[in-house]
Amino acid sequence: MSTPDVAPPGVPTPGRRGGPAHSLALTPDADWFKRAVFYEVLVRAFHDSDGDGSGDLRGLRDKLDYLQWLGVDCLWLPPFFDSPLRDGGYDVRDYRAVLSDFGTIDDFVDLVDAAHARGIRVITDMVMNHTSDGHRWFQESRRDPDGPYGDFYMWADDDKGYADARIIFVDTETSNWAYDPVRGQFYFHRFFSHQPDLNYENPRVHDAMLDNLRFWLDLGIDGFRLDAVPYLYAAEGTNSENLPATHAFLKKVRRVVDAEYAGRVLLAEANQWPEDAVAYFGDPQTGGDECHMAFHFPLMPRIFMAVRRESRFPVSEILATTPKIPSGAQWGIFLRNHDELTLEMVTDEERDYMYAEYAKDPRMRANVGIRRRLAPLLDNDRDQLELFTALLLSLPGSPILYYGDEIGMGDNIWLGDRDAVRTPMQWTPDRNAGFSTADPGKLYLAPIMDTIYGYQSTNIEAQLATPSSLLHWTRRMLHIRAEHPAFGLGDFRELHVSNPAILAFTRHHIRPDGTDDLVVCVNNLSRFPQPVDLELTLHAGTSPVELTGRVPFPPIGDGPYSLTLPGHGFYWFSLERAEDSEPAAPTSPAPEAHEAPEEEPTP
Amino acid sequence: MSPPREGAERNDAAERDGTRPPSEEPRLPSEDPAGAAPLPARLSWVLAAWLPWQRWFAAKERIIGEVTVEQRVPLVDRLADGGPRGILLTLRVEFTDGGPTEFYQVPIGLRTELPPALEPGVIAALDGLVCYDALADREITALFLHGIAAGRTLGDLRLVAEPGAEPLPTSGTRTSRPLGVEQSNSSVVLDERYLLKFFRRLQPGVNQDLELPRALLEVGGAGHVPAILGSAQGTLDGRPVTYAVVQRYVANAADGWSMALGSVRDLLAGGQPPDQAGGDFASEARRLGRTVAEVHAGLARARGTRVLGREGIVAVVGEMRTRLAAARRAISTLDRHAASLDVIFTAVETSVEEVTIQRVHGDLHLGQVLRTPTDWLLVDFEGEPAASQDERLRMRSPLRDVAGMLRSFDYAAHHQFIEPGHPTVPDPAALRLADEWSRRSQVAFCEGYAERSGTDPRDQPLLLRALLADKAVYEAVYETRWRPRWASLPLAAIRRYAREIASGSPRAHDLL
Repeated sequence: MSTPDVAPPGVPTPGRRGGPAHSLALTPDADWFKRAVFYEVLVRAFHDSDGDGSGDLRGLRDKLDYLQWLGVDCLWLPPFFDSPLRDGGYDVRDYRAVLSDFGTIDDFVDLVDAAHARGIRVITDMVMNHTSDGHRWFQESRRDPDGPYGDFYMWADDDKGYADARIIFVDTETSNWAYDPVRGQFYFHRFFSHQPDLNYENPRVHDAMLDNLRFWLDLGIDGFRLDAVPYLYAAEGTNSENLPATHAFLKKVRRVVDAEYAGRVLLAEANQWPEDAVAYFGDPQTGGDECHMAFHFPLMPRIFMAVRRESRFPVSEILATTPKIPSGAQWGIFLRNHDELTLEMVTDEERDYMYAEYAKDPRMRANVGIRRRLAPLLDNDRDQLELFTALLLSLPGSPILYYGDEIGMGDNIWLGDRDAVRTPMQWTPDRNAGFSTADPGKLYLAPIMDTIYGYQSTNIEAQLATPSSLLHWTRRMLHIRAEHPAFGLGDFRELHVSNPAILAFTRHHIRPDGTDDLVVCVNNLSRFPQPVDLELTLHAGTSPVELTGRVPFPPIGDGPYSLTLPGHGFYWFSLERAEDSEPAAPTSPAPEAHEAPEEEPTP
Repeated sequence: MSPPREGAERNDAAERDGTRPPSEEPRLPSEDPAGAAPLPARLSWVLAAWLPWQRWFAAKERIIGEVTVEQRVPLVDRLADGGPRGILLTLRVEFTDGGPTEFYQVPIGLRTELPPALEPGVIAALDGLVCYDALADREITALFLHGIAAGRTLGDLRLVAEPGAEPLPTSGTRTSRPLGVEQSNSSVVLDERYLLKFFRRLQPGVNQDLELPRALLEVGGAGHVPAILGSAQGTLDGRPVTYAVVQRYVANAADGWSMALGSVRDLLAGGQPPDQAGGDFASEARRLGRTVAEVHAGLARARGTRVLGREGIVAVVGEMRTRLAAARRAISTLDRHAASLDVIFTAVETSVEEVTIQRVHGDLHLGQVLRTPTDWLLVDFEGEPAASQDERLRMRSPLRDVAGMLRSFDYAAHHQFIEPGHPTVPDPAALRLADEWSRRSQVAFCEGYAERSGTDPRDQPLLLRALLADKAVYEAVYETRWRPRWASLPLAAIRRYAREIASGSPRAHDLL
């Protein structure tokens, strides 16, 4: 996209010529990220405002009304920085410039302004572990070992160091070291060889990276997803993940955010077992002094496994072995995102199982994972799509939706790397799916065109026009979730049922006015109808109200509360106390049900 | 034998549906029998009529001659305040056949007016009071919990906390929920946190269900079994006897039987081969195999092992032959397979030199294992319900437990075909799938067992096959007598074992 010196008519631009302007800030709210529904959207894939075949920031801004209507609270934009794009923008060439395809800094400020005006926040990726080899720092570093950037990267005379660090992109890389003929030394890289790792032993790297964060925070951004944080430091004799020095640096970042930008969030991408991932929240005594949020990676494959096995135990197990998190922290949970459905955090046996069940064609696999979208993973089964979404919206953590999954978009496994799940958003059945007016040959990727998931049948326009569509259903669920703070803020207790196909739990939150928000979620992971008896006698006298239709169910009595669920069915109930009944105990009686596990989780 | 337990949900439901009629006794005027009131006059007579209908009453085929109250322990008396009078009765049951006397415990409650929730437990109206089985009465069951916490002694009954275990509450119990699934004991869940289990049939000696988990704890292998928190001990015939035990209730667990049935259901509906079916049970079975091997290793550490030589082996095989002979008298169709089964028994006698024996679970099947979110647990270490106390304490080959599990997979795989409403002639394709499910689960179980124990049960094919055949014979007799609809499951297995033995070497490693 060419640099727009003049804003298009009708689009307000904040007066930021001649000085660093800020977008409009939203009301400070320390807990917003705990209640928020996130929506991951690739700038390139969402909407093309200028007909060059690639989505851009203005295109995204133009579609904010849709996102507001849908009911999302925060957009997560993967990197839109200047980049040679050899890793989807995670190879940053200039941390303070927008990739020219996507627009300008002005466009970004416009986007944040327009989002904030709709009550939507915006976060983006900050790639801290490495830069592109095209970054000026690297070019300087290789040219002048004694210059100001000479020590910005991890240089060595041989490729023997950090031998215990695993190789992450096993499909393309054979070593974590690469030789640079210019400097005549090897440099360390945890990801692609064109992404040299920054040297965090050098305090000047800290300063440079903090200044990059401040640059965007000054522009009004609401936070960062910190990419690949476990790998910032490396040390001999360790696997060079989750090292104490890495945590110390993150605490430093947090101090800057707290002191200068209260209310902004840090979300750690640490693809780790929960007991390691919790360390990224920092010290529980302080309520957390590192990242506000961290992804819960192992949960997602287990949701798939549990439904496929018709047994709650894969999910129950990972939740039971997930440690408590500090009071100021929140998990980020997701079903799918722009990366492969990662299977690093499962056992070998479970991985084989997932491959066999969800990636029968080897082309569906990428690295250690499955590169497919939600709908094709579930054979486009509406019941399962609803069950999975209901689980995502009700399990502990802030849900992160992936663009297009709200209409059941498909994937194209014939595209390279992880592009299978990065095709253009399908707005209409018109040319280029309404995504762009460009010549179809100019699109960055062709939209999905098969008969089931193709844009002519699967698109937002059609689903908007159909009240029973997945899109309308998803929107209703988001709105119901927003009415019950228990989903975001409440504690989580699994209810004990003897039917292994049923996953039942309560979410309980005490509102500031002292009233209870108590939601009971019952999920049938089996394709067959199932009975279940819930032990809810402590709530005897209350009448469960089903949340999607507000239908009151029979009151809870002294015995087991019996329900039947259709195959892959679920219920969300609000337990609303009858006016004249005794105050019910708010939670189930097993007080330690979800304390830290007594035993090591099964790896 | 494999699980007579149905899914717990179903049992709970059946109880609510009222398999027993509600009390229709007229309401009687209340009295105030002061002090240690005598037992109602007709109580023994009434209990003699009531006992044979209880699921846990073992001697169903014998005719009761006389029931006498051997011991009575007053538990509580709140009749005056409208509450219960609770008494723990130890009953001596004599039979008209002149055979061995049996002892049972029945905690009874007496009330002037019965809350509706207790109606299913009514035994009779006596002397103006309603007499009922007290296990549904929280005011009485909680006494055991609180009594153990306080270390009380009630008459001959000593309530003791398990040394080093988490303390029990001394008051404040809010819920008490009887479980409806046991055969030889009765359990109550208190506050969804404690399981109070009464061993209905009392046999002198410390109950295995208390002894073996304790033994595992001693050797640091208490994982895989529920934690023991306390017990109620007394004496019978001058010997110690265990009345009840309190365990940590294993919440959020499903029994292996319902998990396995779910997997089979998925398979038969899915039209995919078992190795590709989403609900494949192999990984659970493998994990279960590891668990059983670890429990066996713990029991071996705690109680030692012995080596059974040729003489002992011949004696064990002799028991198998005796069992088969008795079974043939009851089930004539077994005659045609007897010769084949004898081939395997003879093979064990003549070519198995020695067998390592140890304390084992004794009645292991899918209904005796619980899947918790993080583990498999083994429960109910009492041994086979019909076995005598001395039988239960015997050391045996751990392969006996393995055989029990392998038979149980076979039961689970074929259970659908005997459910009411299923076509009399099952779809051959479905049968093949079920066979394949069974085989996959059995193999995975053995592999998991081998991973932890170092030896694959299939490496002792003669002994394993003999134990499988013996187990199936036991099952055939049990089912023919008590659940004729199920009898086809062990009979089909016996047929298959006989055919396999007749058609080839019984030494084949791939016997599963």
